[in-house]
Amino acid sequence: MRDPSSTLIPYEDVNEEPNETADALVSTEARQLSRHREAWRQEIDRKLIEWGRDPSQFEDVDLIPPTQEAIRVASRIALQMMDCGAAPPTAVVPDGDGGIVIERRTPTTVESIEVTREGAAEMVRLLDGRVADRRAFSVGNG
Amino acid sequence: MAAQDASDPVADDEIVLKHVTERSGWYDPARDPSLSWVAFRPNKDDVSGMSVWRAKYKTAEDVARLAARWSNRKDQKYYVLSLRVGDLRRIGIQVSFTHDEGKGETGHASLTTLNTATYDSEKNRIREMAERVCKELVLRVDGPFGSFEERDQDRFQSA
Repeated sequence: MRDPSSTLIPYEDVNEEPNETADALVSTEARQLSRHREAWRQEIDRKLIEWGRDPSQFEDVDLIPPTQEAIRVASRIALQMMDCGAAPPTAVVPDGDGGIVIERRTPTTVESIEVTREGAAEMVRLLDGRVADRRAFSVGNG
Repeated sequence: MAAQDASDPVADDEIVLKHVTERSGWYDPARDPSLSWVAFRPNKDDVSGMSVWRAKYKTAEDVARLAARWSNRKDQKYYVLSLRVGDLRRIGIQVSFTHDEGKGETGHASLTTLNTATYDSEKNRIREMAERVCKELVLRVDGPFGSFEERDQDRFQSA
């Protein structure tokens, strides 16, 4: 399985002040990692698991709720990203066709992992508003 | 006064309105950025383009009320995005008068470039357009509007 962190925006926190000692650096990094994990955990618990329990909340004329397969794959991706310490998503939303989009942004980069209703995943990266990369996103089976 | 059939050509200086279901999360005022590009991703129903309404014929609340009526979800709430037609055309999105699939309402139009077939064949181009629209072209967001059934009932009872 490819390490998701190798193709994604690395985590960073510009608000953190640099620390003098190695211990302080480790502590800062650990806190940051903990915040990222918590943010991913909230997306998984409050959205993906909830959507799986009650997909009918999305039923609308122009919105097909995420399928169970899309939710399963998106949850697996979110867990992988959380485990590898990736920066948390800026949005996790249904795509309207039964799939799910996981989106992460920096000021110049937008990265979307698009999971289709069938559970296929694709990563699209925009740099300054232009598509710079589009590729299949492999999801582990674990 | 606007023509009753509302089939006049859509002018560059017109504003068009697009509804976004609150529960979709495509617009979330608590998030930064608030609007996701997915709001402008064509879905399977957008065969001839993405539905919008012309502001010269419909208010933002009218648009939300129509969405609620056709969704059969009276508990749903809607945000309504305002876009200038000339801005959309400038980035390559065509806007045309279209009928509302027999529902009998005036003022319907479509973002015809944002259709299912074009999205399937030109994903990168449509993705870039959707990004520009959500990042640069939304003039305002109204709402959320909702609970129309209760409000309409209240109005009826107080009349």
